Parts: sequence; C-alpha cells; structure tokens
Amino acid sequence: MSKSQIQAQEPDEIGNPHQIGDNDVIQCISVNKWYGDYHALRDINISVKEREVVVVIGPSGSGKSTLIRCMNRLEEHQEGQIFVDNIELSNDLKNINAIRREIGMVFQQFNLFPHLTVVDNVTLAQRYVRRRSKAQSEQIALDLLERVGIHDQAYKYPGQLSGGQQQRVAIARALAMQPKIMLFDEPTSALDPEMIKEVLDVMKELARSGMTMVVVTHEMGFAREVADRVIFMDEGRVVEVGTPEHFFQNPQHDRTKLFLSQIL
Amino acid sequence: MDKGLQPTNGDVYVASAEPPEARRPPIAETGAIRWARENLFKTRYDVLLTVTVATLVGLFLYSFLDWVIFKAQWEVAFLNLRTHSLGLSFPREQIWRVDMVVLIVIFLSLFSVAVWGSMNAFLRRSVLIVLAAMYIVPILAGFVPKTAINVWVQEGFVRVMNFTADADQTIGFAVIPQTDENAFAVSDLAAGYYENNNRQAGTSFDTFNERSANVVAFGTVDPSEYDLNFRIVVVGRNGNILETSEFTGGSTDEFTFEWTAPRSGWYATYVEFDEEAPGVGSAWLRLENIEVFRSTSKGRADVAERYGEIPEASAIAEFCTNCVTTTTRTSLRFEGRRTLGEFVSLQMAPAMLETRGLFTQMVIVGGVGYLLGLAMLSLSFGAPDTIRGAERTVTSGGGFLILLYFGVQFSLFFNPGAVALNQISFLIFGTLVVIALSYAGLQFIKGDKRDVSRGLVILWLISIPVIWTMLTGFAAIGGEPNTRFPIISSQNYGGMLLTLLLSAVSIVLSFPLGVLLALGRQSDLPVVSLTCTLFIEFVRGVPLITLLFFGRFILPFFGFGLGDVDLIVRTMVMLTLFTAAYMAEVVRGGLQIIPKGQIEAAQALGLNGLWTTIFIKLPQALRAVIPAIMGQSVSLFKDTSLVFIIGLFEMLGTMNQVLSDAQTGYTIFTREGYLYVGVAYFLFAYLMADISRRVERTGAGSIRRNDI
Ligand SMILES: Nc1ncnc2c1ncn2[C@@H]1O[C@H](COP(=O)(O)OP(=O)(O)OP(=O)(O)O)[C@@H](O)[C@H]1O
Ligand SMILES: [Mg+2]
Repeated sequence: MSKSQIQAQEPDEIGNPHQIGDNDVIQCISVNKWYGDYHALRDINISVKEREVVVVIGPSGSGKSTLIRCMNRLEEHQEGQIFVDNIELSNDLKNINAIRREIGMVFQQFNLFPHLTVVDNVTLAQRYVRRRSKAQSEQIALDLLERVGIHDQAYKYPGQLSGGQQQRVAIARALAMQPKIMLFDEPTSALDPEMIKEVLDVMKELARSGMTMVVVTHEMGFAREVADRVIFMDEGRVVEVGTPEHFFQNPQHDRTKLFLSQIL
Repeated sequence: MDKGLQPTNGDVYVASAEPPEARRPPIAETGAIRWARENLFKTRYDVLLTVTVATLVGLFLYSFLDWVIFKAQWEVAFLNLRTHSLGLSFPREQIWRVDMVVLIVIFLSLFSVAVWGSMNAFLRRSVLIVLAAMYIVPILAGFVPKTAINVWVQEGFVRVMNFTADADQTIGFAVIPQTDENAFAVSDLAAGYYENNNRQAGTSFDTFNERSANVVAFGTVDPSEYDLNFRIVVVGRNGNILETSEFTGGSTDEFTFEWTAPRSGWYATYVEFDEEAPGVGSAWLRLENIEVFRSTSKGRADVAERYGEIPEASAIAEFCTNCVTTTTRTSLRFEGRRTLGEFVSLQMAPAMLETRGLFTQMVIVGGVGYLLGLAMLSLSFGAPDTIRGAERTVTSGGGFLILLYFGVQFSLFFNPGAVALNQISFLIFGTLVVIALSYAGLQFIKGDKRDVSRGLVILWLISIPVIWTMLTGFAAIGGEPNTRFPIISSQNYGGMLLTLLLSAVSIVLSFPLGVLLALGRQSDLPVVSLTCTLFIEFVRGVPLITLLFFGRFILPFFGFGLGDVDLIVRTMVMLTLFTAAYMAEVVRGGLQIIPKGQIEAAQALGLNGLWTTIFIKLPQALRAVIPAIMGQSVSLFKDTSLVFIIGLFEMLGTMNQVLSDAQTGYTIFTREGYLYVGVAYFLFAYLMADISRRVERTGAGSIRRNDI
C-alpha cells in the first residue's frame, strides 16, 4: 500500500507527563484554559516526543478537543506555556503561522472546502503557504491521494464523495504541507463503521511511517494497536497516562476504570 | 444466480453470490396528459383552481392579444428604434460605432457561452425561428391583398402619393362622394399607410383618422348642392402624365376606373381641382391594390433596389402646380379593427424590415463567436516552447507599453491640447490592443480549457477600453480635428444606450466595492468597521433620488473641480455607491453563513487572514448569495429609470420625450410606447436572471447542494 514506509522506531521509554525532555516536539507546561468562567483545561502538563503516537481518550466534555486545538492555537490558553518544535505559542502571528505550517489537523467534520475540487483542496495551501509551483503541488497532491487510496476521485467536489473518502482527502490535505506533527480530533466519529476502517487504515499506515501524531478518538482498537502512549482526561485534567498495555490491562485510577468499563 | 430472488427455504433467504447486473433506470412516463393529470387535476380542488386560473389568464390574454394584433399601432416603437436605442440627440452618422460595440459584445458573449457554458437549445431554436421570420414575413406580407387607401379630397387639401408598382399591376381608383356623414362606416376604411408629402417626420399613419377629423371639420354637403370638379392624375418618375380621369358635375354616384402600370417603377398620383370651378363638397378617393411608399429607413434600401432611386418629396411639387402640400398631421387613433393579414403586412413586416439588418448581423457575429469558442475548446494545438517564448515577449512588451501609456496620459492631463501626445497616445493604445489580442490568441491556440478561459478573460478586459473609446471617440488624430471618429459628447447619450451604460458600469463597480465594504464592516479595526458601517447605513437610509440630486446639484459645491465632472459620470458614481451599500449587506449575509470549521481548517493549514478571505470565505459567501446579488443588479437596472429626474434621458425618459413631442404626432400612442419600454426592460432583466441561474450551476454548484 505504501511506498514510502519507514520503519517506526520503538519508543525507548514510556513518557512521564511531568518530565519534559529535549526531543519533545510538543510541550505543555501548566496549561490552563477557561471558556468564560468555565475552567476547561486544568494545569495540563504533557509532552509528545518525535515519532510518537499519543492517543487522548476521555468522556465527552472532558476537554480533549480543547487541548488538541490549543496545540495549534485554534484556541487560546490563558495560563502556562505550550511549545511546539521549541517555538512558544504566543500571540505573535509569525510564530503561530510558523507552527501551523508544521502541524496538520484533521477534524471530526472533515471541513473540506466545498467549493474546490479534491485536488484544489490539497494544493491550495501548498501553493500559497509553502509557495510551491502549480505543477509541483499538483504532483504532490496526486501522489498523496494515491497514498490514501482515492486518486481516482481527484477532480470531483467534496460533496460528491462518501464520508470516509472525504476524511481521507482531509488527511491528504494536511499531509501535503509535510507537517512534522498531525493532530486528529475524533476523525472517525462522523463515519459509518465500514468507512471507519478505511480511515483508520490510513492513520495506521501513517503511524508506521513514523509520523508524530496526537489522536483524540474513541476507537480503542486503534489505541491498542498503534498508540505509544494513551492519555486519559476527565473534567479538564489529565487523569492517567500510560502505555496501551497499562491502560487496557491494569488501569489505576478509579475514574479510568469506570470509563473503560463503560466503553469496552 | 437467476433464481436468486426466491427465498430458498422457509424464512431464511440468502441472496445469490453474485449481485445481479446493474440495469438502467426505468424510463419515466412523461406524456403531456400524464403530466397534466398529476400536476393540474390531481384533486378536486386542483381542478377548480386550474380551471379558474386558466379562465382568468385566458380572458386577460385574449383581450390583450386582441388589442396587440388587431388594434394597436406599433409605429411608435418600430419607427423610432434608433431614438429609443440612442436617445434623440445622438449624431446619426456615428450610429455605426454603437452598432460595432453591440457586435463586439455579442461576439464575446457567445464566445463565452461556448467556453463557459452551453447554449440552451430552446434559445438557439428561437433565435433561428425569429431570424427566419424576419425574412419570410415581409415576403408573405407581399401576398396579403394590399390595403385600400382612402384619401380625403377637398379643395385646398390635396395629397400627393408616391407609390411603387410592378409591370402590369392594376390599380383601382374609386371616388366616393361624401354626402352622408354616416354612410361611410368606420369598418369600411381599411388600415392603410401612405407617405405624407411632408416626410420630415419620416413616419406614416392610418387613413382612418382622416375621416373623423375631416368629417367633423368640414361636415357634409346636401346632395342637391353637391358639385365637385377635379382630375385624378397619375404621373411617372419624371413627371410625364400617364393618366387623367375627370370627375365632374353634380353626380353623387361612385365613380371608378382602373389603371395599369406600364412597367415596374415609381409613380405618383394626385388630385387636381378645376381652377375655374372647383365646386362644393368633399369626397373620398379610394385606391385599391396600391403599394404606397413607406419611409421606413431599412425598407428604403430594398425599395430603391427594386424600383429605382426614391424620388424626393419636393420633386412632385414641380410638375403639380396646384398641389397643396399639407403639413398637418392628424392625431387620432385608429379606432377600427384590422385583419390578421393587415397586421402582418402593416405592422409585422415593416417592424421586421426595420430591425432585421442589425439582428442578422448579430446572429452571424454571435454564431461565428460561438463556433469559434467551440473550435478553440476542441482543437488542441499543444503548447510547445515556442508559444511560451512568444508569450513572454508579448507580456513583457505589453507591460512596458502600459507603463508608457500611463506616462503619456499623465502628460496629457497637464497638457491636453498637445497634438503629438494625442497621436502617441492613440498609437500606443492601438498597439496595446493588438498585443492583448495576440496574447489572447496565443492562449487560444494552446487549446486547453483553462488557457482558453484566460484568453477570453483578457478579451473581455480589453473590450472595456475599446468599447469606451469606440463610444467616446478621439479629439484629434494628427493635427486636424477628427471628423470620422469624433468625440460624442455624453450629453448626446440617451435611450437604451444610456440605460445599459449606467447599469453596466454601476453593477461592475459596485460589486467589488460592496465586497470591500462588507469585509470592512467585519474588520477588527474599529476605525475601518465604523466608517464602513456608517457609510452603509447612511446610504441605505436615504432614497436613491436623494443621492441622484446630491450628485447633480450638491457635489459641484464641494469644489475640487467636481462640477466639471460629467453629469453621467457623477450619476454613475451615485448609482454605484447606492448599490454598493446594498451589495455589502448581501455579501455580509453570505460571510456569516460560512461554518466556523471552514475558517479553522484554513487556519490549521497555515493560510493567513488574507488568503483565507480570498480563497475560502469569499468564494463560498459569494456563491451563496448569487441570487441576491443578481436581484440587486436587476433592481439597479430598473432604478436607472429615475435619472430622468436629473435631466438624463434613458430608455423610459426617451420614450417620454417621443410621446410628448406634439410635432412628431406620437402623443396618442402612449399605450404602445410604454408597453414597448416595459417589454424591453423585462427582456434585459430576464437575461440577467438567466445568467445568474447559469452561474449558480457552475463549479461546485453543479452538484447536489445538501451533500456538501
Ligand atoms: N467555545 C466554547 N465556549 C464555551 N464552552 C466551550 C466551548 N468549547 C468547549 N466548551 C466546553 O468545554 C468543555 C470541553 O469541551 P471539549 O470540546 O474540549 O470536549 P471533548 O472532550 O472534546 O468532548 P467530545 O468528546 O464530546 O468532543 C465542554 O464542557 C464544553 O462545553
Ligand atoms: Mg471533541
């Protein structure tokens, strides 16, 4: 399926949320966020290493989306620091745009541009952000569409594709920017079971190729198979962090146990 | 596989391993009767509603068409086409320039239709049918028995009529003494045209009107006192008398005779009273099977070709000494009822002769443009490096010339009279047009749809200055004042030309301005958003007329030479500002419905605010509000009729002028006049709405909307 598969390196050590190392591409230090008076993120300390796949799970409203959206500044945090690629996320527009270039994001609702064809969806940002030529960006787009298995839909409009196909276009669109990190916010929640698999397959292939990924998902199978670390959140805070084995065989926190018993 | 649809046993059903072959959908039955049954007569109430509405509409249509065909007099429309199109004071000898502009626009429009859209088969067929009718109907009209023409005969009230006749054509003359006021019923008088001796108005009218006017004015004479002596004379082209018939004495009987034309050509007939004893009373002279010359300008050429050069009106006065040329024109309406044949020969045929020249040119030029567009799309010449090289040369040369042109225009601004500068400016302009044309040509021969599109956009762009120059003209080329292509002062613009100029310029300019205002209103900078909001709310809060008055009377007091700015330009600015404020609100509505996710997706890709606005927000917002934008444009188009208030005469204003000019005698034709203007407005507005529907269906609009 993939021609550019790179063997993923085994992470040598399970990350400790409070230990922040030098090869971390994302570092959240005491991050706090409020929506009005509502305290949505409470003192989050997380780091993500290069080539690491981190899965974030947790009940609805626990702040998973908020956290992941803070990582590329779609939401603004009020306290603490977030470093991406050693650049701090601040109000400096230059920093924000530099960071967004390095982070791809895939949304639950796909958010494809409905007025552009699939190819144009994938080439637009390449041309105006990466400043690639038209021919080059189109070539990259077609290669990526082939990689996610929908090159034959290249000249259709998003409205003419199934949900699974749309989400794969969204992944290709993010990948076209050649990001260092990919953020996924419940990429399969809006999909039918048959389509979920085709999207997860693409994500697994991506993980195997060594991409750094932060994935919010309810797909425990995916977490078990691909994740290096799982983060469990509840009520805006990180409740438990560990390897998939740790999580699914030996969860420690009561809240985690309760949550897992409900969904497994 | 074939028995796969039957349950194999009991409750368990397993489909065959292979799915059945896909079939075509069943052909939907769409007979007219079936359609009617399903849509018009489904329930009892549907039947009732259908019948009621159909009856009402039918009654209205019947009486309307009855009037249109059998009673209305459309001369006010078709004999004044030039006036309606260009206004009363547009110089006649410069009309060809407007014709050229029309043809350029038609060519580009149909080229675009071929490249960007597709021709509606219905439209194409209708155009061809109309074109064919324009050539067939005048021929058919020749077979319609010629309308008898009734001429009032009384001493001192003589008309000379030019007519054409083919060889051996027999014309019947009848003198009907006017002794009884009511003997001559209105229905006896056919609708006829004849050439007024006084051709200055260049129009024709019905003879019926004569009756009422003259019978009322002169009354009748008692049969016993009736005594009239006159001669009916027929003369040839050069004045030689061919036939004289005397009508004398106290006879009150009808007197008839026939005259056969010796050969095809021009003749004239008139009535000459006996000088010593002209007598008392009046009569009607009825002319049967006569083709009296009508001065429709387009018909003239055909007539001249067939019967020889058209005689001057004054030529006849030379050999008919007693003829009194009358200059009064009757202002009475035709009250009778014409036959269908007469409608064809007296209304349709002249109207078609009048219009078919330009229409034919438009169809040919449009057809050529359409075929060329199709050819450019289907022929692929490839894109070898030589084309790219040529393209580079052309673009860099063009860029240099544009800079030069601005330089020259700048110097001209300070030194308007400089002849040499004028010449250089003219030269550069011409070269730029040639360069732009060749660049567009290079795009076309690449044969790729995108390139052809680009070439077409360039053609449209250069067409704007070309059209502008065509319309306004040049002051001087090469020392002496320019006579072949002179400047037409904007005060001479009127009619449909002015309507279209005002609305086209205002629509085209108000669109980007409206978008900017909408974006400005949403801006994060308080100064910008406040200014835009204030402007929008102010403009939307005052009536258009106020703005027009502002432009006409108040602007000049602001100084800065604003009073010297052409009134038409000032009006365009006011119309643009007015429409831009409304456009801004429409666009703002479109911007608001864009889901937040779209903007987040763009941000996540690293697109900055400007790119997001240009590539993500605006395209979606504008597409969503195309119907509203087009609604604004149509409404502006109709609102241009208000400019007559500030002394500009557009389509409606020109019609008002024509109808109120007692000298031309159209004052009584208000019904026809306004109906014609209404139809013209409707056609343009409908065209605009149709274009908007087509634009809506392009690109992502071509797929089912709720799937997006
Ligand atoms: N824009 C907002 N304004 C106010 N409150 C918000 C906003 N966005 C999220 N919240 C609140 O913040 C909390 C965390 O929301 P978030 O979307 O991060 O949850 P989540 O873990 O992603 O849930 P889900 O699994 O349902 O997507 C929720 O209680 C939510 O109501
Ligand atoms: Mg969420």
